[in-house]
Amino acid sequence: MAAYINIFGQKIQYISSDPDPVQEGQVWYNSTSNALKYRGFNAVAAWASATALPGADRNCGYSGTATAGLVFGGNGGGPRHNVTYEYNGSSWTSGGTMNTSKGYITGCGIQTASLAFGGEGGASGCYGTTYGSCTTEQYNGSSWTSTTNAPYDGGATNMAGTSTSAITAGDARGTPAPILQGLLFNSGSWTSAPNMNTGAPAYRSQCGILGTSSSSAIFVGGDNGTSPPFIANVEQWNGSSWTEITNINTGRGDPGGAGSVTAGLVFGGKTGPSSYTGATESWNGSAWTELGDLNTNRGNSSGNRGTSLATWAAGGESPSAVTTVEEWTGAGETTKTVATS
Amino acid sequence: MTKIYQYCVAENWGKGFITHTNSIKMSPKSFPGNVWRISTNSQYSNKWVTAVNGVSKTLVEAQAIVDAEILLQQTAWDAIPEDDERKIEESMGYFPRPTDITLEE
Repeated sequence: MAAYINIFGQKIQYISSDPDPVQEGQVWYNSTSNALKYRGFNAVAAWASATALPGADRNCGYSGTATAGLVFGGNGGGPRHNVTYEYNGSSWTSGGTMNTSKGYITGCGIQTASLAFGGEGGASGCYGTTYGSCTTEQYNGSSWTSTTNAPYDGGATNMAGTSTSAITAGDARGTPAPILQGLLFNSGSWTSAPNMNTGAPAYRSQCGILGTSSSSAIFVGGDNGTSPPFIANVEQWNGSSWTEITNINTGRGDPGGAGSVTAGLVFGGKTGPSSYTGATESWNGSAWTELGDLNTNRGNSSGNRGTSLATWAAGGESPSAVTTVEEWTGAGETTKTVATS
Repeated sequence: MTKIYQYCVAENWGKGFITHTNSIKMSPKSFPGNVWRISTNSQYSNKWVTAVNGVSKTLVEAQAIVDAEILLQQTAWDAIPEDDERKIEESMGYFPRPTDITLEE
């Protein structure tokens, strides 16, 4: 058998961690994980089935990445709950219990440092509003801790950022109703941020979220409470203001989102009173391109986790809650492990 | 008329049930009652049905399964009391009454 050095002219790197940056075609042996790896190009962009959620659920909060994800709260057609599930890319395990049971909750961050806000824990919110909540909780990888309440109730609102720095907007509830009011969460304090531009008269709830920073995010589509309620409008947050950018091709409420403001993905969603889409669109920073659909049409299956190349859609409604989980692999460079015996 | 789709009943067990390549080649789509629509792709699609222990169905058979499952869901929805938040559209616990689905040939 020919040796690698005789074919390629170089030895395989023997290193304790994956190289960064890494180039397409690069091969190395990771001595920590005892794995031979290479940087290849994945030409397939599609959804595949994945391990189902332990129970049918929808309107959950989401955070994390494709291989270290978090799903928390929700109302899978029954009572709203406070259960958390952690995902490692192949299976689900129970995480810490939230302090408040809520559905339509919004979240951001990573599996070991997440933020949860808004949603509804009952008919009345902190300020007497209908179906909203000001409560905010932080997850540290094992337990949830309540932190400062927001100055408004969040309904089925939207959020991007980390566990300590986040932007939320679109469904703020108070008296008078601030509706599109933005709020910034920073190290335990809430301050006002500019309003989103589009979404009134009722609200702008359940957008797909691209971006994992409080100073750089895109809120896609959503439900504005009119008829038909589902919109194609897209707005970008730059840390100080909202700008309307290119609409998505298929207007929808409750889509999933993943990735960043320059390489993102939006998928699934609600297109009518009882109709759902599996349509998937990628964002390259200037235009939306339609890609392969989810295998199960549904909405409410994701917040922003993962990247445009690797993410998942967990649960959701179509219209009843489902356990279905699908994993997305996008076309592009990716690190692969060589199976050895 | 050329058939674009074929149907089967198969239970999604999770990882490995549909691979990324399956998605590219068959564009699978799920419907109530564990009914799956896949593109008519002769050997490839038939092999997948066999691999997932699926049972091929005609369009009429698949439609009957979907109709029966949706009827069950509609009956369950109709039995929910009118004042239950699951039926109050303004409530966040609301979910709509499942609507009929017509499968494509």
